[in-house]
Amino acid sequence: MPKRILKIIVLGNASVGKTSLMTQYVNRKFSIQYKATIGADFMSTEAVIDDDRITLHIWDTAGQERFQSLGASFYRGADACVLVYDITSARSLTSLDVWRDEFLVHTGGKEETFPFIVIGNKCDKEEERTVEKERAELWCKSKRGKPIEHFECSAKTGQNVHEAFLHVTKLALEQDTSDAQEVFIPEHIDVDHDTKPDQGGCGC
Amino acid sequence: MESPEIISSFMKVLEVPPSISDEEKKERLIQLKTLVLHHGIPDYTIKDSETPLRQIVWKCLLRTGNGDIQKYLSLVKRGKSSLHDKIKRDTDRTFKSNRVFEEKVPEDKLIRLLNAYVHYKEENDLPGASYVQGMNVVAAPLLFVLPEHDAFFAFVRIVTKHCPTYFMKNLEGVHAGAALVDIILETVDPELFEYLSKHKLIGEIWAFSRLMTFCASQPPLDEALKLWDFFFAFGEHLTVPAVVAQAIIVKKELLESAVPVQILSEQKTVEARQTIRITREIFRKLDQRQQSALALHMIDSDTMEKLLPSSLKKP
Repeated sequence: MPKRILKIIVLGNASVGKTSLMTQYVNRKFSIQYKATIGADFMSTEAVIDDDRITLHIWDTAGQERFQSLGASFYRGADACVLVYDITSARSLTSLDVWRDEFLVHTGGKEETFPFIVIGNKCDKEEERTVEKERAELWCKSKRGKPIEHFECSAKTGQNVHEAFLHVTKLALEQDTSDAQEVFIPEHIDVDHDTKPDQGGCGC
Repeated sequence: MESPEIISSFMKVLEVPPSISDEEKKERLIQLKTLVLHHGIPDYTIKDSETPLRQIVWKCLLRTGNGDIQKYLSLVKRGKSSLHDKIKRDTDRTFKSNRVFEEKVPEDKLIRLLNAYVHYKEENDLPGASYVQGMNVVAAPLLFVLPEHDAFFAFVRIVTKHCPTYFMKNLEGVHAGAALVDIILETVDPELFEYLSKHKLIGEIWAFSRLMTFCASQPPLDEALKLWDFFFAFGEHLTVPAVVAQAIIVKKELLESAVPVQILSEQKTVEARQTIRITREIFRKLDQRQQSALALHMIDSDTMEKLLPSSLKKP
């Protein structure tokens, strides 16, 4: 059986802790980042699910709106998406709509079925909390399709981080199999599909 | 210990007599650049004034003169800018884990400089982005080397004059630089280029932060400063071949790795002198058209736009 590689993309506003979550999951420790992410950051790790070894390629991007122009090449081939907000910032939760839309536009993923999870990070800062768990769960239920799974995590203490990434990996795997069944198209039709008319175009 | 001969050559070039012709000034600048190229800037502090040599050389190369301290103070007096919160989110994570940096450049300095820049931009109605993530990493080494007001004027000069396309609203110039990384890598090392392409690793993905910060995003700061010596002497556009050089230096590891992007995102120390040596070799291998695109893409929007991937071109 070929080795499976899944591409997971982590999105959310600036300084909600995307890179720290990724580092905590991969290295099992909290490390202070040398700098804020510029462009994209990448980490790779392995997960074992039902005795299968899965290679995970996890990407995150600068959380600033301007960098969203880091488009197609970054999102291409994504298998799942982790949306991150900060429980001490209400705005970071409402921004998830934009991130999710942006993601779907770039990947062409189906809104109802594409694997997303939501992480509320920094739950070690309970005293600064401004986003109640219920409110985030409401957001998760408000989307089309199945409610999105929600995890409150702390990249600092490691709480729940492993569980969240494991869950998103499983979702991506399930999606992978259901997709394989769904998109069983005879080859000659595929070829037609590939000849897009919008090639060339003038560069002026 | 730095060689005393080299230090004295630097001092000789820098000791400008009061009456000096423009011709002579130019000549001295060339001498200074040649020294920087061959030796880097020695780690030396001038005894009388306790000024580090790098500070003096950077001020010459960046032509900050003696930055107008009153002007800077008036901008600082205006306090928080409209983008203060955004700035604050990045300043407390700039060169974290580098204690020497944190001691020398308290966060407040960085916040002041960046807020002052936002005020300055609004006041002068300059085009381009106000504050974007990554500018903190450009301002930080300047503050590390120069007095605060000089750092400010150096920053303004780099962002608005030397590399304006890099700091446009959507950072178009950086995207163009990333496209150039691919073009140059394909020219000088087709094997590595093909390998990275096979792994869908285009410049935009792996070179973006290095380009935008002139390699300062990669620790350690000491090596980044040595690269900046070279960039300030011969042009920030050399960041592009320098980034290609950094990939070529780890070529063996890249080719052996099943996940090459991991090698590129690891913050491994790449020695500045070696990077500079290979950067020069790369530059010599480029044809004239490539060299001119390289030289112009940071300042000329036509050149820059021609390099952009179609998805980023203006409709």
